[in-house]
Amino acid sequence: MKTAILQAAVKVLMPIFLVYSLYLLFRGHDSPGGGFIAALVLSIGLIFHMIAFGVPETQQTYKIDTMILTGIGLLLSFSSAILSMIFGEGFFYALWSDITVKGIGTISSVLLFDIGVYMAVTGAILKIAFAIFNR
Amino acid sequence: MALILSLIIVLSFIFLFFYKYQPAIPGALGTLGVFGVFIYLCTYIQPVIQGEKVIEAVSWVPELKVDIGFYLDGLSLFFALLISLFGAFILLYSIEYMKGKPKANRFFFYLFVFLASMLGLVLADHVILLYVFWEMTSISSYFLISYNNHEKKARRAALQALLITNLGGLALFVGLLLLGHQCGSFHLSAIIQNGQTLAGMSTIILLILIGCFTKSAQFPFHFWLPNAMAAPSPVSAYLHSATMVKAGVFLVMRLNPVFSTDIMWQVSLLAIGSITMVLGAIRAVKAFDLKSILASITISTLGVLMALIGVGSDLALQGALLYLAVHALYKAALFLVAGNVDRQTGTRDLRKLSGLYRNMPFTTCAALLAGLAFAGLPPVLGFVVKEKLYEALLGGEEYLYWFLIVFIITNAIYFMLAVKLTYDLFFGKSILSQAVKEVSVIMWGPPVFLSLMGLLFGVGGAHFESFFSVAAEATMNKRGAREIDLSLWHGFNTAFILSGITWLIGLAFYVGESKFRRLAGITKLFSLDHAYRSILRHLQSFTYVVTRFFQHGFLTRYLKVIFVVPIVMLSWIYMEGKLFSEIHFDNWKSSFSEVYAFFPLLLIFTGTLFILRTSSRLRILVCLSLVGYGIALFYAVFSAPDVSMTQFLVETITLVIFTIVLNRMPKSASFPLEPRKVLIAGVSIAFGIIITCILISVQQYPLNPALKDFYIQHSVPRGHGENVVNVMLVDFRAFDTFGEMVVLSMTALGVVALINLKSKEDKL
Repeated sequence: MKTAILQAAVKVLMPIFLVYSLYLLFRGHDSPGGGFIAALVLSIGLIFHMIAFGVPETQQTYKIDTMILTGIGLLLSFSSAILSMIFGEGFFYALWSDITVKGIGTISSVLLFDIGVYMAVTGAILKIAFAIFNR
Repeated sequence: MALILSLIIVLSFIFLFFYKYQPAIPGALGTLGVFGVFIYLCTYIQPVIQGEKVIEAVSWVPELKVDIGFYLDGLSLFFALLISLFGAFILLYSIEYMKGKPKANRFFFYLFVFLASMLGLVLADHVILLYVFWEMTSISSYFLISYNNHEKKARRAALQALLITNLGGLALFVGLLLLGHQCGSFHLSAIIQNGQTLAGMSTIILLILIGCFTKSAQFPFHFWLPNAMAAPSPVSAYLHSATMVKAGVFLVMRLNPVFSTDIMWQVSLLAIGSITMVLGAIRAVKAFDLKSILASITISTLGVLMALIGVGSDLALQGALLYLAVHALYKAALFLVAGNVDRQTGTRDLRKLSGLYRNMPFTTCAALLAGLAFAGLPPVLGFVVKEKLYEALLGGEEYLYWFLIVFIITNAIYFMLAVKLTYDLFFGKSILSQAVKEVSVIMWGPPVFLSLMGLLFGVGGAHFESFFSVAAEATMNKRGAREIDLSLWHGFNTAFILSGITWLIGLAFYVGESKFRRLAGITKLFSLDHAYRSILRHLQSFTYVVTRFFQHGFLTRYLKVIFVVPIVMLSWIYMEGKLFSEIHFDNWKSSFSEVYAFFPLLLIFTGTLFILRTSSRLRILVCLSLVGYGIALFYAVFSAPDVSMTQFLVETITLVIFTIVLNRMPKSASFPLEPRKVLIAGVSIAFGIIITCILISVQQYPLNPALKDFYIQHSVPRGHGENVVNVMLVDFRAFDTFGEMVVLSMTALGVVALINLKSKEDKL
């Protein structure tokens, strides 16, 4: 389905998908959104990119290795649990700092966890989508 | 003790990661480390002789009262010394033997893991810990046997060894648990103090003996050991003759104080041990492969040890302990000799080898010394011990004379085999075509040294008497047994005459070998290798049938099962509890209080209607999505924005992926036939009705708001977030979320594997 219309549309829409998914990711703690939803939004964008340009093109453009993405995601999420233990708290105890970044929110181990979710889910969905599309 | 084990585990990782780059340094470090462990353990000899017992415990699972406890007395020290000393030599030997072989780092890693678990096994105090180490030795043995994993034979042998020893391991586990429960303590140090008769003694004995017999390759489980010779030679020397297979003997010795008065314990040990002893010896006569002969002798010797523990007198137990040491020394040496011969000549077939002494003088030396011990000739320890055993059996009960006769014949066979393994192999005319060179000092040193130790113990046995006595005393249920007398010359007594007879019969066997070999053919009847294979085959076909029954691969059938099972179960619950009559529709009006809810309802209804009308896959898909979006809108109307968003997005992704899949599916022209349509419609309607009933029922009971209130109250103060759903996901229940992430990743892997299956490989 490499049509010019879809390709042109995806090219315009992709940055929006990307930014919007990040926006959803960071605002998730106080308003609707969060890592999972953000990952779904990003995946939809990337899947459309895949349909328009093919799997190799998508992988190259965004430098994605789905397995590594999933792995890093899982590692980040799990490290938030270990981080709490290093600081002498319980497993998966949320740590909160005083630093607040505009647009991202308060830096915390929860944020780290959510970013992990974001990456792992994106990786897993894309892995399935790539495999099916390549078949 | 825990320190020793951690040291060895650290060494194992050094080998795993650094051996590839620089083999010499980890090699030296490892050998020195293990030798250091041996020296360290030696410092315990003097205290232990004076009757000291070391107990160490580190808390492990305090809730279950399981600790990492170690118990060091004469017996465990004896075994630990044996294991660490042999470990050092085998390691030294392996460094040269494995030089330049692929995956050698893994080999050393497994070897060290085995070393640690074997030491742990003999030193463990808590029975759970003992069991853990027991299984760890099985697993490391599995990896070592299958080291040449490109060979089917090696893989099969490894699996066989693992299955059989694990089967016994499970029995042992139950037996140990029962034993611990009956004794009121799971610590071996306390269990062996127990003097009373226990309830269910025979069950416990049976289970523990199954475990020990499988591990120590006793009849009828003996067949795994010769197959395990697929492992590299040092492994055969170390695991499958000197240490791991002795684990069963060790445990029997360890528990002997508890059970020694039980008639079943004695009889089964004596009977099974005798059968194994004879069977192994005759098997050895039949074989031509060097390692296979040695393996069969190992089986036989293990049988001797079991039988001697069954005899149970002080002298027999002392003899068993000494015999174990003798066997470990000469057998390890012989295995290493076999490894040398194999490496230099490329064959292990006795018929193709002869006159090697010109080429390999040092290896010959080792073989001769080891052969002396094996044949029970003076002046090595093997001779002394054999005399002692004859003495022990002579002084016993009447039925022991029968055992003595069989034992003498077995020893005669050993004598004959020893002649075969030394004279035939190394002397006579050389029939090898290629030039054979002696191996390097690192490879002939260990076997020479090991067999020299036999000579050392034989001549200077008097210096070790007290230690052996203490070690043997730990296997008895009383204190103050006789001291062991290890002097080389006992005088011209009955035992010496019996030794002479043994040598004569042995010589006769050697002369009439071909006839004897034919006779030995009958042992084939006792091999359960075939039974094992057919059991495995039938198990496989059975599981295939069962799997095919449940996993037939028809999606529609899966769906029918998924829907019909809840229908049946739920309607059964409704009938049973007479819940249908309790359903009433009083509050249906409140359900429609939200006017906006009618729009998604309309969407869902339209979608469903169109699904029924159309027969195009793509249209069905779009209509299904319509239903999904309708549900998402429902969530939005009833103010659950997060859930609604997720539903929208998931619906979209599903739609897109399904479109891709549909595009790749073959065009199918045949649609469900009318009768099947009726069936599907029936299932669907029934499912719809039952779910509706449940939803109405649920509304009739007040929900417990405690949980909901907890999350809403604590979300901002403790979760620092106003979006309760997200705070739950990433904070309150983060571990759940993490689990789901792992599941999702695994699912992705599974899906990809399924998609990439080639149709040819699509078979079970």
